[in-house]
Amino acid sequence: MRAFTLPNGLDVCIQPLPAATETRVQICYGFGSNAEIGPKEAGLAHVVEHMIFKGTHGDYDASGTDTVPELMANAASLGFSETDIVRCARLMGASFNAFTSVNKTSYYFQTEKDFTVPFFLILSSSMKRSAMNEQMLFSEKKAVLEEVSTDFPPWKHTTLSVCAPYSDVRR
Amino acid sequence: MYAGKDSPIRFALKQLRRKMYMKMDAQYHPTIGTEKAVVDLKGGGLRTFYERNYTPANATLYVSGAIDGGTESVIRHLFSTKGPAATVYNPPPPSTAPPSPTTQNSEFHSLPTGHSITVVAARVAGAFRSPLRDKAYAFLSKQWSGIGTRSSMWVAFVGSGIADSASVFTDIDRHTGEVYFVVDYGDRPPLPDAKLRAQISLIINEHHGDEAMADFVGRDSLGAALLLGDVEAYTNEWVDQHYKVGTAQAQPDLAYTAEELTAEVSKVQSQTSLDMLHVLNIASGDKPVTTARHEELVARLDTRAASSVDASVKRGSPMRDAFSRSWRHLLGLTTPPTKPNVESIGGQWRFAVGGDYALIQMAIRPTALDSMRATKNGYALSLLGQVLTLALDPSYYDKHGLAVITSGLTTTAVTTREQTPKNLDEPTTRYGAPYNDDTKEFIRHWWAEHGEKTAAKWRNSLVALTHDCVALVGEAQAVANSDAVLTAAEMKAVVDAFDPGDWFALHDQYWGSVQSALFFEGVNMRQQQQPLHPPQQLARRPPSPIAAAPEADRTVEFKRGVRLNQAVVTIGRPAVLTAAQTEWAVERKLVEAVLFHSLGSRLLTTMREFGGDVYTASGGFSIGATLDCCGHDQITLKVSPGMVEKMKTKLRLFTSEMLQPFSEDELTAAKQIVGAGIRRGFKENNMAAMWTSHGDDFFESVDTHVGRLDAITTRSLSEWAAQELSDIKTPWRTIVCCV
Repeated sequence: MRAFTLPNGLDVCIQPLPAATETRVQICYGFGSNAEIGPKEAGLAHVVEHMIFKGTHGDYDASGTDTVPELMANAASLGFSETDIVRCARLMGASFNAFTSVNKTSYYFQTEKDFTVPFFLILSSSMKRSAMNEQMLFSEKKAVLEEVSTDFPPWKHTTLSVCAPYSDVRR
Repeated sequence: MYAGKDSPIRFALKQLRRKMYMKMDAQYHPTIGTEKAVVDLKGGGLRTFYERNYTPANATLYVSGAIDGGTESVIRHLFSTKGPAATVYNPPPPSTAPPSPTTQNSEFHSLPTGHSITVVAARVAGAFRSPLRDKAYAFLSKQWSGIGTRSSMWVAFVGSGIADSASVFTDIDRHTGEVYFVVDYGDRPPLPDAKLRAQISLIINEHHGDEAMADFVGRDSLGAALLLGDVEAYTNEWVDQHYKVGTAQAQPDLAYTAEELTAEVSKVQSQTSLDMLHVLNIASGDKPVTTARHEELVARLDTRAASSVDASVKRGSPMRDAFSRSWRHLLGLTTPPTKPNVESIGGQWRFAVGGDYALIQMAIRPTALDSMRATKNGYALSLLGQVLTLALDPSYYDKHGLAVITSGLTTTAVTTREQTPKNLDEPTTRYGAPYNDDTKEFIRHWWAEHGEKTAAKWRNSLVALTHDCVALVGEAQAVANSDAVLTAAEMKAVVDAFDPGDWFALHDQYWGSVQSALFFEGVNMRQQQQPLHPPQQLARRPPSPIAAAPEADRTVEFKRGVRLNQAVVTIGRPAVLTAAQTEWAVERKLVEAVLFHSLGSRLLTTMREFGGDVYTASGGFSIGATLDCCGHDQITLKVSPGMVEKMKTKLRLFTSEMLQPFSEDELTAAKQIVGAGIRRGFKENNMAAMWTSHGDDFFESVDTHVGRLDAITTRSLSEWAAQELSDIKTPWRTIVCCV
């Protein structure tokens, strides 16, 4: 495994697995609901997680772009709509998801090895320029509230408690 | 049928969280939030949260699987944008303004305790222009005028029958300091303001220069030792006085043997910010007023007219009692030990009210080193106090009118003047309100940013102190008490260098005109106005849940009109392990496998042997202290409804007996389970991604840990479990039953 830290502080770990046919790109933040301040923010980390893939700000409209070099050249100003992200994932057969716990928030894409670059772009853009659109929030709240009303299935509590230890091994 | 809100497990675990954590703790609420909070969320709040937390330095990017050689360059190209700069607090430079002449009349404030009256005249020393020299002067001023029964203050006030006691103490830090003249009048009427000023003026003006020094030498052997440069004599006496060592030990000159000293230093070095945070979280359960001073805040005292009242709180008073409970709890004590003598820790309250601020301070003498080492969280607590001293951001004070920090075992809450009556009004808020949710949040975030670095700093400091105090290493030994942050060698050098000109110049600077000094005075207003605090408001505060006795179980009855054929009994305690204990990866997992894994676990076997229907049983030890909150250990049973009370009893019994020595069979099975789990985690891409995102050394540790499995024996595992996971270390104390 190769690990290094970018000048902006982002830790990067690259783990080639020779037998694998897919690539997983995952970004994990070292905070979760513990970054919420006070009861009024209870659930905020989770809602933000829902909103991350709801589109990003950007000066460059990627919808008319069909070459990777062109996308890369405009990476710094790329903007994606929610539709862009979903369509991209469907076209390239990628699975993507996210989760929030007490002390971590994570997003990932898993796709065939030749299709990773668009998802690097999406992740990069989402982590820097998420739109946090008010209208999107209105609709997304319904999905979150549905989760709240059903809450976790019991196994998830167990999973959390089992996994929690591994969150604290950062050096 | 039992999904969602109707799930007894869900309800029981929710209740357990509420018993284990405060509202401000992340684990008090479900991670997905509450319905009300989600409904109320606004886009602005989301953006603020996003900008606050989604920074590159907070994240790890993990890429695994089929990767070609160009991946790294793509990542560098796309993810290398500059993240927002970290917010670093730079304390303002100390004020260089000379001490302000007072223009304000004395203010008088009633003491809520109804106990003996203490009047204090305090002098703010102002910013030190020459820290070493000025500190030495301030320290010596205290020595000659206010320490001991032969001091000027004692002779003038007590000797003449005016007061019960009189003394001087200083409060000095790196940049500034204060000297307080304390006169305890008892039940006597206090001196009028002008006369008190005159009396103190007389004392400090008639004792200066060579004559005063000579007199001082004659009266005070400790001070004389300093003045004469006999550092060794001074430090020995100081150590003897403050740390009560030597006389009762086998070696008269050393408190501890070299081996004991090494062991103590090792303990200090092993303390991490997580240990301290653990203590902080425990402390916040009882919410003692926690704080004290900050350079910037102290510097403000220079420019603001103020008045204060000090109160010596007698033993047995509600105030003393409440505080006593709070610090004993911090130290992990339920009853004071017979040795070391922590009862010797004394206390004093101070209320200082200025133009637009007020100080409520509780100061107690430093904890003796032997007390510190013998109490559960002693070292961590001491370090915590030092660390939190730096946690006060002036902007926080400006924004909220409230600053809460702590210095050692000195606690102070700073609040606005308008809020002062309210804060003094109720015993419950006196201790609780200043240390409120906002404060805790502030400290949490401060901790995340600065905790580890600052902890390391103070850890080193305490190691040095341990050496200095115990080893008696001569001139290099630190004086390092709260009054003079000078080494003995420094003090000697400064005193030796004083010439009469310096002495008079300093005296003029600080005491030359008493009329220009700030005097803070107060008297008991019982004789002058109605008391602000009716006696009934001083009633004993009920213990907070976390401070309650271990046996104080709580039961939550849960009925939703749904016919359930199962009930949940769950028991918890604050986590006893931290991430710093590397045994979490192997030893902990082995113990968990023996105790809780599947049908053959000790838990399920024990419970079923007990009789009755036990449907499922599970448990786990959490790695407790994260940067922001403690985790908790828990054991949960799903049983038939009629078995709840019996299972509660049995479960409590189980927690005290579950760590009996492990057998070979148990260990062999556990090794297979744990070893397979570690290897599986290593190989499965998804799990590895998730874990590696949180632990840079995951792969290295997997190899290490698998190798470690073979080395573990039943004896070593049993000993480790008894040492680290025992019920004695942290009792299981919360039971929730969902019926």
